[in-house]
Amino acid sequence: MTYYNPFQNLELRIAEAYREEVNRFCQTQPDALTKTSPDDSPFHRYVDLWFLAVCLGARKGKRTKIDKPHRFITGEILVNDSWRIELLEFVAISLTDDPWIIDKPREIMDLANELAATGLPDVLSMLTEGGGKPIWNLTDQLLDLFPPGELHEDRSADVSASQPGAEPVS
Amino acid sequence: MKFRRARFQNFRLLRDLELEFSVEEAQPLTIIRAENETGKTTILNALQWALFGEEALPDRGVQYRLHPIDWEDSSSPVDVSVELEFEHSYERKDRGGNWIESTEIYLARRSATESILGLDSWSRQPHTFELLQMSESGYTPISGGELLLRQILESNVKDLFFTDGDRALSFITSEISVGEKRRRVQKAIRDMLGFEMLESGITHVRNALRDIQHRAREFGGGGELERLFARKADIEGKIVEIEKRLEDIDDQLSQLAVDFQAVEQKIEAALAKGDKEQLIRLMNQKREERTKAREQLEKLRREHSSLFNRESLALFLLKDQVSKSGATLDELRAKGRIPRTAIPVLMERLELGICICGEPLEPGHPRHAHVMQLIQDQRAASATDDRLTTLRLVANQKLPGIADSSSGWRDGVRAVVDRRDELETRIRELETELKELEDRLEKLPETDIAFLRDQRRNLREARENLSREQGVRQSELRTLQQQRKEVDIDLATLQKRQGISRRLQSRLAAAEDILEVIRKSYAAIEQAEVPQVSKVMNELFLEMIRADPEQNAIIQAAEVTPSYDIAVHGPQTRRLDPDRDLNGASRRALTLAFILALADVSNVKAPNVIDTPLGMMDPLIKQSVLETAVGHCSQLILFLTRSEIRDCEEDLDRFAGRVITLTNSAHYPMMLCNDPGGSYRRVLRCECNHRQYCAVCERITDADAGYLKKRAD
Repeated sequence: MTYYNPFQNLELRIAEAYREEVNRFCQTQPDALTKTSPDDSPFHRYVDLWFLAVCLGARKGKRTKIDKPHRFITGEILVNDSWRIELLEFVAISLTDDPWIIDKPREIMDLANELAATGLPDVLSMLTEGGGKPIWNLTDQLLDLFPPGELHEDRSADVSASQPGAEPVS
Repeated sequence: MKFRRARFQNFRLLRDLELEFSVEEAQPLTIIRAENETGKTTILNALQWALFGEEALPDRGVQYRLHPIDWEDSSSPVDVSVELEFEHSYERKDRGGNWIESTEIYLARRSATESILGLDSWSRQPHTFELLQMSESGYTPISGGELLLRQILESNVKDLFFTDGDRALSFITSEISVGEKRRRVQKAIRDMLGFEMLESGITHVRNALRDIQHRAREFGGGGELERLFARKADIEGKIVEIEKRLEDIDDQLSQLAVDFQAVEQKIEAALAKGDKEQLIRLMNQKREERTKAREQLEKLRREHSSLFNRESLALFLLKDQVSKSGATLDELRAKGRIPRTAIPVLMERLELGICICGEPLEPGHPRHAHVMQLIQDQRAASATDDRLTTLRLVANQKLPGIADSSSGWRDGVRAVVDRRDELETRIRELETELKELEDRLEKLPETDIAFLRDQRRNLREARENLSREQGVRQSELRTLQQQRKEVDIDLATLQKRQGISRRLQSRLAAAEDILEVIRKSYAAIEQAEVPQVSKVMNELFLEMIRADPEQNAIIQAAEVTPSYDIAVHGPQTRRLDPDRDLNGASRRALTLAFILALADVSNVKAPNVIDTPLGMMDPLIKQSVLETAVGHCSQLILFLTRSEIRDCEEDLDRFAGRVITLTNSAHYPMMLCNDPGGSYRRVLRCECNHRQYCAVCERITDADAGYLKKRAD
């Protein structure tokens, strides 16, 4: 069975400037001497952090150029999570208003990398702000994006809920 | 039956000696290391005397002196005694047919007083015997103790359970006639089958009658009266002495009770503060629980981490983008741009050759070429259309569920968080509990419970020892009071004895009747049992000498023939003379195999006390004899010399639950290195095992013997 992956040979990138910091929050760190705890490194792989950055960047609808990119992997990795391919295409269609952009995977990947560059500082601040371990900071801040709920109320007391584009889901 | 301990006082060379025996099932062997002339045979005789009385002594005790030959004070009588503490197990079946075993502890005590009359002459008062049973309140005398002991011993098997390595050869020695050998073998088998007990009972009754008649005749002379007065004074002196000691014992027991109570209270107090062992156990439990909780937490952390990779989170974050794209694609659909369905229509028109507008579409016509171009363009765009159609479907499918899936993500987070909170709280609680336990452990006083329990055990042991002595002294007191009473009686006593004599004769008649019945049973039982003894003896013998008939060993088999010969067969069933054709080691092995086979077949469970069984044996035979003997005895007590022990130390390491070394003080300076002091000969005991020597037992060759090491004091 073959899978649909138009991004097979395209590069996923982050800014070189963030490389070390991103590295810190991923469990599969290259050259890691010790196994890191999920509490300190909440993301399993680079691609997981990158995709969250894409989501946050897309919510802002802002592209950020990457001066010095670090090519951490190819789009081949997306085949394991085909829903990510679909979402990247939705983001591209919605931001370009051009459905036929799906014929241009390279443009979609460029868009995704630039959206990730926008969202990456937000992800990093979500991880580090809040006074807890990165996993708790991130959990709390993501929950703040959700409509008020039991857990949300419990954990939002000291955390800012001012993420841009945060809208309640009806 | 198993021996627990024995105490010998003034029994020949055994001036004051105590021995303990191993009663462990896993290590049933007790080794008493003793060189020649160190009292081994004397111990055998003393133990037999304690259990079986005068009959068990050489020449039935006639002219057999009990007191030490170098007794220093000939003016006063010598009190000789042997105490033997043993346990005996009783078995019974419950209603379900299961065997229930209970074990009792007894103390057999036989004593006698001997007066030294000259250099080579002495006289012995009739011995006294008492059997005491251990209970929670101490040692209680049992009336009819000797009879109970006989029942416990099951049969008169002293020759078999107390075996002299040399004397055992009498079953096969050529020094006696064939008839005599047969008689001995037959007797041994009959003893084990239990007949001897009845026969000896009758003999005992006859002897008792003779004794009473003899004693009756003895009364009458003035000299006798004088002797009786002196005897009475002597008895009264001893009574005073014993009563004083009993008072001391009472005092000590009272003090021990107080001490015991105090230790118990300390233990209770310490337990209230916390039992150290229990605390450690509890801490280990808590640590284990903490480890498991930490493992669970680690799994939860991974689960928590995986929440950030969930599609539901991404969908929630990108719901606006997905929604907008969905609307765009719906619009395309509404405009009919997707899916593109023109190809089948155009193809149909080409086949009909007429356009929808009615114009002809014949090949070669420019309109035909135009429609062909349209079909080609449509085909190229269909992959993109398919994808857009799929995306539209996906958007329409997922959009309505975004709210649900995002709350699903939130619920997932909540569940993980709740479980993490719960676990982390528990881990913190465990940490606190562990800290508290550690603090409690640290604060426990140095005098821990284990030490107090040791103290309590020591006090209990002291109480037991004192109770035992109390029982023995009370027994002595009763004996002396009885003796005084006997001395006090006059002719009336004689009449009474005559009455007893008549009763004994009646009993004798009854016993003779019983004997007649039993004799008729002999033949039938022997016929069944002898082949069985023969079979077991053969197996044990071949095992001991490591002879395998299938490997063409010279010795092929051994048997007890129906005529009670112990026979050995070589190749082609040729008969070998055990005494002439077997070497010394095999002869010993053969007699030991015979004895063990008798015990095995009769199922009599009693200690086997064997003197120098391993003499003349090479190392391999020694080891197999030892292993076989241990495997077939419930309790094995061996008297071994250093040379017998040599080369089987490792077997002794394995099997021996207790090792004691005995030394004859008279061996200094010829054989012993150190002066044991004292002006008389005696057997000394030390705790050296079969690999050690010390200042007490060191012989002049020990230091050079590489296999012995000096024991640290």
